[in-house]
Amino acid sequence: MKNDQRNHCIAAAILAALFCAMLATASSAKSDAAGAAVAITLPPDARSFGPGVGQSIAQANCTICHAADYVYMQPPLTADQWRGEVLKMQKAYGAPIDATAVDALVQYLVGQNGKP
Amino acid sequence: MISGMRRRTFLTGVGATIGGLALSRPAIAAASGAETVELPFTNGARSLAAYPQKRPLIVLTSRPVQLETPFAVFDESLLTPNDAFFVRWHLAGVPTSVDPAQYALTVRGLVDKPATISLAELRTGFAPAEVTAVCECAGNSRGFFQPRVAGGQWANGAMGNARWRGARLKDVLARAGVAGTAKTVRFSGMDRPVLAGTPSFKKSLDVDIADGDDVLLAYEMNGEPLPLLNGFPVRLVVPGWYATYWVKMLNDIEVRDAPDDNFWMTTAYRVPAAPCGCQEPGTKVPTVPISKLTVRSFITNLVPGASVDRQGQVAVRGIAFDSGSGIAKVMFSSDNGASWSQAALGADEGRYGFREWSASFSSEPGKRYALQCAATSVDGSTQPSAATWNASGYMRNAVETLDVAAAS
Repeated sequence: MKNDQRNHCIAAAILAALFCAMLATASSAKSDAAGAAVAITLPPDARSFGPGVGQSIAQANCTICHAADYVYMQPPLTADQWRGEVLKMQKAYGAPIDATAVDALVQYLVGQNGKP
Repeated sequence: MISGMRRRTFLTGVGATIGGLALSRPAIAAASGAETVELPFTNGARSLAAYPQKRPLIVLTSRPVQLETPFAVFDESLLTPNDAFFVRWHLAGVPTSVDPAQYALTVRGLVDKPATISLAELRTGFAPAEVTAVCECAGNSRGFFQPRVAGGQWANGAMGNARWRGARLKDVLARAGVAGTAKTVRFSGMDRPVLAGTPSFKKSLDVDIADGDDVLLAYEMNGEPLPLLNGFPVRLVVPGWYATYWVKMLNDIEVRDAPDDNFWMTTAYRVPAAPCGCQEPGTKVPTVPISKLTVRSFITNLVPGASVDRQGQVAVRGIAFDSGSGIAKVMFSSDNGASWSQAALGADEGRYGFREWSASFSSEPGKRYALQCAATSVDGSTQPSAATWNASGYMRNAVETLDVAAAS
């Protein structure tokens, strides 16, 4: 790289840094009255649905709104109790669970975390 | 924070002589999500992970995020540190980026002057007020219900005590001019459901509750802005009432003349109408919206299974709280409730907050001790010796038993 090119690059870098500093100053001046902006990144789902007949139904319907850990942290539930949960998700929360898939989903959940 | 320093010092000083801290200690020291804890009920295995602005906490669920405070934190200080404060969201659409300069709180409905209030205006346009208050999830301790009930399976760490600072809701409502026909005030925040069919999270208070002196639009928690996961930049604080009403990322206040017909008031967060808030398993009973905290007390400086000094006076320390009448007394037993002695109460740092208590018992080599504490509030409320039950797993406040043993 020739000297004049390098000087040009350095000058451009300094200008860019100055510009960034000015932007940062303007931005902090704007937010000073209310405090700094906050941005966070949430980790991905900690758990996914385990293998079993009906896994794809759970994956397609339940994980729209929540991670699979919602299922595995529950106490083991009976088929009737899991059916109650599935119907609550469908009716109260609007989960798009096809009526023909309810039985299979209930059986899958019993297989994952059920009791007699 | 003098009491906090003393409590931490005490923990360090006696740590070497108290065994069984394995469950709680890694929670404080962990730097990654690799560690796990086993909460004492079926399916109680949990990982610990440090979410943004948080130390490693017990992960109940990852989306929507729900984090439990490791119980040892309650022995660190009476004010629960912001980075250890529990987290509970209902809907996965939680904004992960919030610019307070863009924040706008809408006050609308049955008011003379509907308003949109910036955070700067909330901070400078209204007299700041402070209250130290316990924020407790309605389902705190649900994992201990017998028979078990579905829902968030918390141990005892879905609670925290903080010093909240903000504008009084009553001042904001007064400036807007509430109509004489107003009956309820409805609150909602910036979180959104994923599906169109999921009800947005909204909670309502009767006007007389909303007008309480201690109800705040809080922009500070323990002297700092709230962590985003605890509701930054503004959270409704309703001292003495369950956390479900403490709407996070609050940005809408609607004054109405009718009871709230929204799902989160009419279907969710309801308890049996009976004064005990309880029912027999398998029965259906009339319900009402959940409201005020039950009186509770806990031992904080010992964990279940701890081994104590083989012979000597064993110091026991803990916390008690109620819905704001204040703690009148805490009784302590080292023999499973057969005999009781009155614990010493620490300084009163606000009637809505944690109240420290301390007691002691004599240990003899090889003996086992079933430790219990039972608080009575100023309004006369007590903790039941046997746990009551309700279908949603809310408001647990039974006397807890903590088993320890003296070395032989």
